[in-house]
Amino acid sequence: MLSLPIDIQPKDAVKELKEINDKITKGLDFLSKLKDEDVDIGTAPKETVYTEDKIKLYHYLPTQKELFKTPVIIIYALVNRYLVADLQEDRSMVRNLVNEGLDTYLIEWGDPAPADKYLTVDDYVNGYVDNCVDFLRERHGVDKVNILGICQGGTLATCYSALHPDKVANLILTVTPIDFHAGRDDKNPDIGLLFRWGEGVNVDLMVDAYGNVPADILNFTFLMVKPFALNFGKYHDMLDILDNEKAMLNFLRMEKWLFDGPDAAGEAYREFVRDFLRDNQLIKNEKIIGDQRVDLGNLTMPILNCYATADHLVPPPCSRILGEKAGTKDYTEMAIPAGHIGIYVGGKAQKMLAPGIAKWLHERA
Amino acid sequence: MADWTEQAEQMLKTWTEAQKNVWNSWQDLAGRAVGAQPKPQPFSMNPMDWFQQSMSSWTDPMGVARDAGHQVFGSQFSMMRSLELLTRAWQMVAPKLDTGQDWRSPLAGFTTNWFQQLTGASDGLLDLSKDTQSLWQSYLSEWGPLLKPWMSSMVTATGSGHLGEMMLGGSAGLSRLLSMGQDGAPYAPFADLAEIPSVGVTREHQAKLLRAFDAFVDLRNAMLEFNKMTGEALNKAVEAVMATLVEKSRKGEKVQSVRELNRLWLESADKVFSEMYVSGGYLKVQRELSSTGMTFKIMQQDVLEMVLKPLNLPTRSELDDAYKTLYELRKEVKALKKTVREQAEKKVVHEPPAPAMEAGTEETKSVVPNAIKQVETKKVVKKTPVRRKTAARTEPTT
Repeated sequence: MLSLPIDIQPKDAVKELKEINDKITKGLDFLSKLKDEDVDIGTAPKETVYTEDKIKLYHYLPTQKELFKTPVIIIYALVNRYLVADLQEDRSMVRNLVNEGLDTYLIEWGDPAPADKYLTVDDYVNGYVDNCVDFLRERHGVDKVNILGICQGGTLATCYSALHPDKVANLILTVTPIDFHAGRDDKNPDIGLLFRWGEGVNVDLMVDAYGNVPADILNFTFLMVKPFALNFGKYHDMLDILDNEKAMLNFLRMEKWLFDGPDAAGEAYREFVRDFLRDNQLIKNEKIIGDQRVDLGNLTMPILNCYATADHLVPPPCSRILGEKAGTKDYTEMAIPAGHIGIYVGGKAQKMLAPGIAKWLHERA
Repeated sequence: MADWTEQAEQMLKTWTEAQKNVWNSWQDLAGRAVGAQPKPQPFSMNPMDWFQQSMSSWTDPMGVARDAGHQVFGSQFSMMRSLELLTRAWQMVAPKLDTGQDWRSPLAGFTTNWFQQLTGASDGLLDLSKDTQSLWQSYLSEWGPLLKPWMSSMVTATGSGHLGEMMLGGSAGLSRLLSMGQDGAPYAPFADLAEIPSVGVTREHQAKLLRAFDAFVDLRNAMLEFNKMTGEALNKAVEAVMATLVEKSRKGEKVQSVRELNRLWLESADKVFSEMYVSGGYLKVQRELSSTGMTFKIMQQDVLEMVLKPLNLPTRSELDDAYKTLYELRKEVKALKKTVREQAEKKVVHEPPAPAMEAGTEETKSVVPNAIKQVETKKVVKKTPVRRKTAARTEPTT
């Protein structure tokens, strides 16, 4: 006869429940005193140096006396906010770059309003990015700047660099999809799942129905990749840190970042899903932006391609294919043992990513 | 030695008692937090409603802490529910296993019922979709008084069955409706009638309403398919956990904490869902659900435009036209400014400097880059030297 393999004794159950209950009591006491502004993210000191429509170009205030001559401009994705690059003081790629002596700028896209629904990828790449780059070239008196792309922002950075190679000194990419169909693994179906879903979605209907694509829909899609771990498991694990104020604050910062994303400008979203995710035009050199074809062969500047070895959203092969397609003779890869988000906020990554970028740039200064 | 039935019953009894204790202590805790609010009787309302109400009063109403608080309570309850689900499932599976009978089929039935109870979903959804009249009433009720002028005749017409719909709509979707539950096969006699063209003064309005109804029916069907598929996945997930527990039982291994059991459940469920996600069947159903959902939304917007126009209120499409014009004008202005700036720069390079008296005239000043950019540039140039190699430490400003 089979015995019940669930052997949770009454006394143990009560003890376990009491422990959880005690943590909850203490945790709620802490939570009840928190205001939203206490969960502070994006705190690296900065100034706004350029604005256009809803975008802002931030300059992170230097902390070092000796600075690299060529500034670096960070291009973030059009979904979620740039704040993951500066989540908290001790987990901040931006702060680390600044502390390495990089004169660091970042474009914040802002929140697209209904009136922004017609913005296209061309408007972002040949409009906003190009204007910010021109502004920095003028400000620093240089012909070229360094560009650092994050995730989808890396894809935009790649397009920009291929279209304006004369303005880009070095291209640095982090967890950037180039081949959107690569890296899928039937044994690990959640790898590359979002891209697979994206291919199938009727994006025309979506944009026609919503105008700008609501952040909630994007968040929901992210959560659906691992519905149980992300909707339940994560909060079950939170019970373990409820009585640890520092750990709780860190947890809340990540929650805030995750669920406080902007809507995505409709036409740009339509174009991105259709041309990049579904038709994979970038890797085929077929993507047209403005009136120009994006030819990866034009990427003749030095490229540093940083990928996360455990990235399920952008599997490494999606990024690494660039090494075969780019026209540059100076191509370097940096593998960070982390996931898609961990590359920016993980403990190990803090010591690898920004220092690695700085070293690579230094060698090419 | 107690057999598995007694063990399971003992387990559930213990947990029921423990839940009550926890519930009472939490209720005290939350009750204190909400101050003067009357404390409800234990189990007099949904615990989650009570806690959410408490947390909303207790914490920063707009904050991430409040959301975390909700999750804390939710986590505890979901863990308890998981424990109960798996223990009950084991009660069903173990005797079948002992006697060598099929345990998967009865388990699937049990699991389906369990999740229907848990989510509030039931066969009612399916029943509603099969019952045209209920579905139609459900659709109409979504619009309320907004559509009264156009709906009254339709409500009357449909009150006695399908004929009114057919006369009014000429809707292709009606044949789908009439064949619902027939696996897509048209119910021929009625399907033909459904194609009769609509007539009368309000023809276009009524046709829009019926097209929206078609979309509503399509969405319901897609939801049913989606729910069916995810329900099957949940069944498989429970089955996977049972298989693991059987394996453990045979090896003499034990799960000794609620957290451990819960982890086993969540990991198994995610694994099953991951496998389902990449199957052709799921991808098709998911696409259908999102497409029908968005089509329905577009149809709703069409109907709303019909309501707003006679009231002389701006409609979505009118706003979109304005946005498009705004966007195009903005682009044009930017392009013009860029051209003017480039020409001005060329002028500076190629032409001899203007007489000093004219250099600062208003006309010259207006030939500048985009105003915002210029302002910001000026600000920066003032604060930061160009081509600087070093920079002083700066105090935080943000």
